[in-house]
Amino acid sequence: METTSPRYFSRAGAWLAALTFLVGMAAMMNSVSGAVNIGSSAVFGASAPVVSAVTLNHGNAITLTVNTTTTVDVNFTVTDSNGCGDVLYGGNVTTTIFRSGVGSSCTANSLNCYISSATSTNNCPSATTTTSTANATITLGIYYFAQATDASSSFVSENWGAEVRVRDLAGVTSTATSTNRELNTTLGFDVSPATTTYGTVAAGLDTGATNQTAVVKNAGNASTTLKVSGAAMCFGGDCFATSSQHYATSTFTFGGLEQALSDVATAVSGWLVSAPVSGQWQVTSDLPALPNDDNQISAAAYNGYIYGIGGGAVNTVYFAPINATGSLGAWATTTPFPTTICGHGSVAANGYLFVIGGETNNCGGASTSTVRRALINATGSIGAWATTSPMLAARTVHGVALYNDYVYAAGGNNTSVEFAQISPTGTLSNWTSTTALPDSGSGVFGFFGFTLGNGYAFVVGGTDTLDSSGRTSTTLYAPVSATGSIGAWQRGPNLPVAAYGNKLLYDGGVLHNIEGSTTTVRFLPITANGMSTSTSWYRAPSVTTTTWNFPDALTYRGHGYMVGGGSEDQEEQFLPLSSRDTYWGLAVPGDALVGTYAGTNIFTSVWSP
Amino acid sequence: MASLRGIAVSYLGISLAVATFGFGGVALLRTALAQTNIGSQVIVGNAAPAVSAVVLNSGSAITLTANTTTPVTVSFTMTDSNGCGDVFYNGNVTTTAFRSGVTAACAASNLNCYVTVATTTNNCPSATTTTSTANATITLSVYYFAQATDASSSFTAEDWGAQVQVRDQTGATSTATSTNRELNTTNAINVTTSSLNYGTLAAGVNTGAVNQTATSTNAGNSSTTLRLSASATLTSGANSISTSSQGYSTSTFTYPGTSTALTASAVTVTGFTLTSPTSTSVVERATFWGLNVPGGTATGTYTGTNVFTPLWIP
Repeated sequence: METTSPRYFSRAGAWLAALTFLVGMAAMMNSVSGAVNIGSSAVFGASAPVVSAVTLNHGNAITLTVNTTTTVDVNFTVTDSNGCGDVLYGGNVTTTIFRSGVGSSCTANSLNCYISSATSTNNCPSATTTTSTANATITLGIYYFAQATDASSSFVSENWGAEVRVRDLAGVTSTATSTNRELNTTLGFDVSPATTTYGTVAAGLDTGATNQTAVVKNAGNASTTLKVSGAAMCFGGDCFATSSQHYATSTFTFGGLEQALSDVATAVSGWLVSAPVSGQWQVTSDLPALPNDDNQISAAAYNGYIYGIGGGAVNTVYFAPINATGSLGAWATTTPFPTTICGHGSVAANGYLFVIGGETNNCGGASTSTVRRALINATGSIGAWATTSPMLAARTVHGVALYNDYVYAAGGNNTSVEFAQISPTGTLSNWTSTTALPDSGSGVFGFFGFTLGNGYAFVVGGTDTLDSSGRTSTTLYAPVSATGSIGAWQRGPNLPVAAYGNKLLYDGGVLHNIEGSTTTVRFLPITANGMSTSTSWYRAPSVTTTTWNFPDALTYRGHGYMVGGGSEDQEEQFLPLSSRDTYWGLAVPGDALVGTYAGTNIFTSVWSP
Repeated sequence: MASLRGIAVSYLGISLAVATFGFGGVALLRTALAQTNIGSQVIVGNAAPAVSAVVLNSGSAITLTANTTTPVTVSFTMTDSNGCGDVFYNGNVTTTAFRSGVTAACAASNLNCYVTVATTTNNCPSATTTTSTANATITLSVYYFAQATDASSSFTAEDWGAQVQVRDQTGATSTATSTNRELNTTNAINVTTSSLNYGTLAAGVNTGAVNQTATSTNAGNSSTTLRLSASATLTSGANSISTSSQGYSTSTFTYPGTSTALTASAVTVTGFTLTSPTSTSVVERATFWGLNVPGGTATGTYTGTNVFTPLWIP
């Protein structure tokens, strides 16, 4: 830099000299034609800024940090003969870090395109300085799932670059780009909770059908399989064998087909998660065409089966097996619902399929508070439907979601929210009112995306009125207590567009909103405190067909599913997610002492292209 | 062969180097896998203890010892998956020996209900052992007047049992009961007076209104009367005084008065009854004694032995 700055000053000096010379020539010409008062003047125009020496990540490959953002610097030099303050105080700097395949003109996206309009950290003394050259650094936070470009990635022929565009006070710009750098593949899991706690188990007993869940989230940027291993659990000098702990990818009763934990890392069969926000929707076994296009169908999954219930003017209940790859087998009918039903919600838990609220008469009847349940048989078929605890309020086109064995019903005909607990034997408690959604003015709020995860409830978009005339881009989030109640709702970052008929999925710290009547899916990483208004919704891989007429969507065993809806016959679709549950049980040896035994289980992420 | 092996190793080294480079090397190797550790935790609580094989008095009928306590054992086996120390060091054992009519829930009584909360003699190694099973013995001291249940008793339809309740450190309990056993009737008298001393009497003189007293206590667990006899008459060297020269009565008398002459064979004392004790307070009654020294009896110190024999009465 010491050599560059004097060179620019030298060129400016030559330019001033030339102007002076031209003025002198004019005076000479005027003197020929007669006496005249001669003045002299010089016009100094705005000089264009120049950006140079753009360097990404100090010239190194970028290695991300698991499960968080990584600060990546872009350094550059800006020169403006009007003074560096012309850019760094009076103008602005736009910095883009991008995967080469999407180009520097990309749309901001935490997968592959990070854009900052900060004016940077720099050494320009002031807005009015005569110092023309300054060095600056922009720092961007790159998510752990930003797309890798190394040899292990899906973009081996690409890499990442940085472009800096400076604009001075007059709007004159200059752009420069860095040498490209690799963004390395990062493997890692975030497993929660941090401790698998079995509670109190007597010596000689096992955990039976009570499983502890360890949610394994892909906290890197590559698809990965899972290996697990562990060590003995000890209390003082007394230890259980490592094999005392068992695990599976679905719930189990201890002593069944689950695997015993080993000291040696062992691959978990069939367990594969995608890189976050990288799974692609795929068409799978098609739900038979229903009258009125499966309008406002509901879906749920349990014990290896997925269910599609009602919709439009039918009471049909379909179910299909879920294959190990996440695809669906052939759909078949089972015990029909007692009435036609649409606008309802469904969940499945603890052996029962529940249908909550809705309306009859081809989505034209009165909404209901009725909740019905049916026993789910081992073969996936269901038993007879029976009414159970009704909601406090009648609802249709409301949000329904299951979280920690609590089922939630939100909005619909009003802004109230209520929840009930499903016991281990499938009994539904009475419903309890909890914090209502903010009143939009109409007092009605429906067709929104609704889900819970990571201790929060989320609402995305929706309508202000039941006839969907007032769609909104509003998003909301609220904390969920251990006893199921929901706290105060706060606003999150708005969707880029107002949308209703949304379906919201939670996947390992990322919300996926399937927008109604489009193919658009947007994602939003959440934080430990819910949503952050400093983040934005970005595009995720689209669904394959337009989501007309309100399909339902759900997550199950590491996959997302979309069922029903469609102006014709909506194709059923699924995609691999980036997180998946593992289930754990324990047998306490008969000679164990009374005490608290503790150990360590190891989840190993194994790169799997 | 040695040189060929050397060449082979060298080629292998080259091959690995090429492979590493070909896969993009460091990045791939660095990211091939990554570990995440989480904790696992369980609180092992309480496996309830289990008591078994409770045996009263080694499986035999109980025979008490007159006028004192008799050690009666209750043996049992205790199993606790958390270790036998969970009971024997950190918990406790309650043992009840009881007449069946009052049941194991009885209130402690020396008559029919013996309760102890001792930690017992056992073979459990330590408080923190992983040994789950231990054998133990509780010893109870049963009084001589504990209620009999045999054919001679007032409780012929009953017998005695033992119940053991073990409790671990968290308060979980287990209870088991023995096979019942008979408690035999003990018929015994204790004479608290060790000697009748008539003092000095001249030949041809009797004790007149001066009586010696012998106190008898019921030393068993049944009502009893008394039979008296002399196993050895009063003698002094080669000289003797006839057994019948001693007279006795259940009340004071002036010799011979209402007294009964002592005999060599046991004779039941009329009107003498000792009821069965109901506590450690003794049940006692006196007999009064007098002596006639026949004229012509040689001078000397005469000694003999009188025998007090209990006789069970229902």
